[in-house]
Amino acid sequence: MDDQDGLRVRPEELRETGAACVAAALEAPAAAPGEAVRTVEVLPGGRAGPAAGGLADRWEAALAGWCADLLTHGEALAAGALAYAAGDGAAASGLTAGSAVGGGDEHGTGR
Amino acid sequence: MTALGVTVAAARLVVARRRLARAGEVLAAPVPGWIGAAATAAEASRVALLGAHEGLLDELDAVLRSLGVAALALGAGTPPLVVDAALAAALAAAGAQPTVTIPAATAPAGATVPGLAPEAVARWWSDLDPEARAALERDRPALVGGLDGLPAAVRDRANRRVLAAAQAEARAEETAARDRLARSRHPVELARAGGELHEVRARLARLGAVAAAVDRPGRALLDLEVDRHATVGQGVRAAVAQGDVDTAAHVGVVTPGFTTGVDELPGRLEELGALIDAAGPGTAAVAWYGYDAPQLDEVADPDRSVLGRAPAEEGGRRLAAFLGGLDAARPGTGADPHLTAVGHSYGSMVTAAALDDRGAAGADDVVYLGSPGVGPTPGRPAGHAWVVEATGDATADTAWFGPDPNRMPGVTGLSAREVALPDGRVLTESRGHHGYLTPGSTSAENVAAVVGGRPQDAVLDRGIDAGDRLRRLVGR
Repeated sequence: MDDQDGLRVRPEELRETGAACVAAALEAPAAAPGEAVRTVEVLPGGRAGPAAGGLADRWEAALAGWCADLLTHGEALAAGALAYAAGDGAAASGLTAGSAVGGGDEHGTGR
Repeated sequence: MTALGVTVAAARLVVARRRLARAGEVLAAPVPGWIGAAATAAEASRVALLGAHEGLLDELDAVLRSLGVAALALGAGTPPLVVDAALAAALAAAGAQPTVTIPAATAPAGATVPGLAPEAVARWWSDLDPEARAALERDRPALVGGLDGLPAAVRDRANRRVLAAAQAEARAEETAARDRLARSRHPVELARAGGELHEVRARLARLGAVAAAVDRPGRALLDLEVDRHATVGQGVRAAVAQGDVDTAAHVGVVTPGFTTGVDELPGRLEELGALIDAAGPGTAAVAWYGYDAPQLDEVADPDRSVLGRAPAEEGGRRLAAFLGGLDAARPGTGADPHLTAVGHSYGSMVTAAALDDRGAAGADDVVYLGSPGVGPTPGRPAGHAWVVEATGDATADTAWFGPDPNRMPGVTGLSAREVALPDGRVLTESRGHHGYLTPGSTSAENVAAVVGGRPQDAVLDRGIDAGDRLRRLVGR
C-alpha cells in the first residue's frame, strides 16, 4: 500500500458515506417490486400469472442481493474509516482483501 | 384481472421504482479525495453496485411498459388471450440479469456502522421474501452470519458454511506454505515460509476448536470472523450458544478476558452446559469470544494493552450490538428474554463498556467475575448488578479500572465460598482467578441463579478478603 493512501479522505466523511449506504440498504424496497407484479393476471389459468409469479421471485432474490451488497459496501467504508481514524492504513486495505473464497461466491470470512 | 387490475399493479410498481431509485442515490459519486488501493477497490464496488442498480431500474421500466401496453390493449378490446401471451412473454424475459456480489471486507475490531442497528436489521430481514432470505443465506453467508438481529438458526447455518470455507482455505494455505518451506534455500525465505506455516497452523487449530465447540447437540455458531493476517488479538472471533437463544426465557452471555481465545471454546461450552442445567429450564448461554482479547505479547502496546481501556472499548461496541441482536431477533413484542451479561476479568471491562451509554439496553442483569474494576458505575441498577470475588484472586483486588466492584454501591456480592445446602449437597469453593464457572462451585451456582432469573436463590457474600483489606490499607 502506498504511504499516501487515503490521506486526503476525511474518516468521518467515509464513515458517513458508509452509514448512508447501510441505511439505504436497510430501507430499500427489496420486496415491493415483486409484490407489485406477483398477482398480475390477464386470464384465469393463463400464462401471464405464472410468469408474473416467477418474475416476482427473481426480483425479490435480486433486490435482496443488491441490498446485501450495498450493506457490505457500507460496512466496508465504515470499517475503512475506523482504520484511517486509528492511523492504520494497512487495516483500511482490508477493503481490497475481499477475502472471498471460491471465486465470486461470497464465503468471505472477515467482516 | 381486468385492465384496471393491470393498471393498479403498474401503479404499485411505479411507487416501488421511485423508492428503489432513491436507494441508489447514495452511490451517485465516489468519496471525495480518497486515493490509493482501498479507494480503488471501493470505487470498483460502487460502480458495480451502481450498474446493478441501473439494470434493476431498467427491468422495472421494461415491465412497467409491458403492463401499460397490456392495460391499453385490454381497454381497447384486444382479445385477452393475445394480451395474456404477450404479457407472459415480457414478464418471463425480465429479471434475468446477473447479480453482482461485493466481497466482504476485513473489518478491524470494533468496526461498527451507525445505522446498522440490530432492530433495523431484524426489520429488514423479516420484510424480505422467504426465497430472498434463502438466497442471501446461500450466496452471502459471511454477511448473514455476522448480522446482529437475525435469528440464531439463520446465523448458525450461515456461520457453519463460513467455518467450513475458512477451514478449507486454511488447509490449502497450509499445503502451499509447506511446499514453499520445502523449496526454500535462502535463510530469509526459510524464515518467511516458516512464519507463514506457523500462522496458518495456528489459524487451523483455532478454527478446529470452533468446529469442535459447535459439534454438539444444541450448539449454535452465532458469530464467526476470521482475519487471515491478524495484526491484533488471535485473528479468530466467535460466539457459540448452548441452547436456543431465540426461544429461551433466560439467556446468559459470558465474555472472557486477558489472553483468552477461541481455543478454549470447547471447555467453556462444557461449563456453560452445566450452568444452564443449574439455571433451570428455558435457559441458554453464549460463550462470546467476539472481540480481540488483549494478549500477553501486547502488554506494551498502548492501543492493545490489558492495562488500558482500548480493547475493552472496541469489544464493548461489538458486545453491545450482539446483545441488542439477541433482543431484536425475537419476533413480535413482549418476547424479550431475560438477558444477563457475565464478564470475567478483563471481560468485565468489556461488559461494562457494552452496558454504558452506548446501549445494550436489552441486558437486564450483569455479573462481574474476578473483576479488576468496571469504571465508575456498575452498568445496571441496584438489584441487577452482581459481583463474585474468590479468595486469593489478586486480579480482582487491583481495582485497576475504578472502584472494586465488590465495594461499589448498588452491586450485590455473590459468594464463592464452600456452602453446604439444606439438601446435603456441598458446593465447592472457588479460589484464585480462574474457577468462577467451575461446575458444582458456589460461584457457578450463584451465576446460574442470576442467569436463570431467580437471584433470591443465590448465596450472598461480598467476597472481601485479605487482598481487599490490604488495598484499603494502602489507600487504593
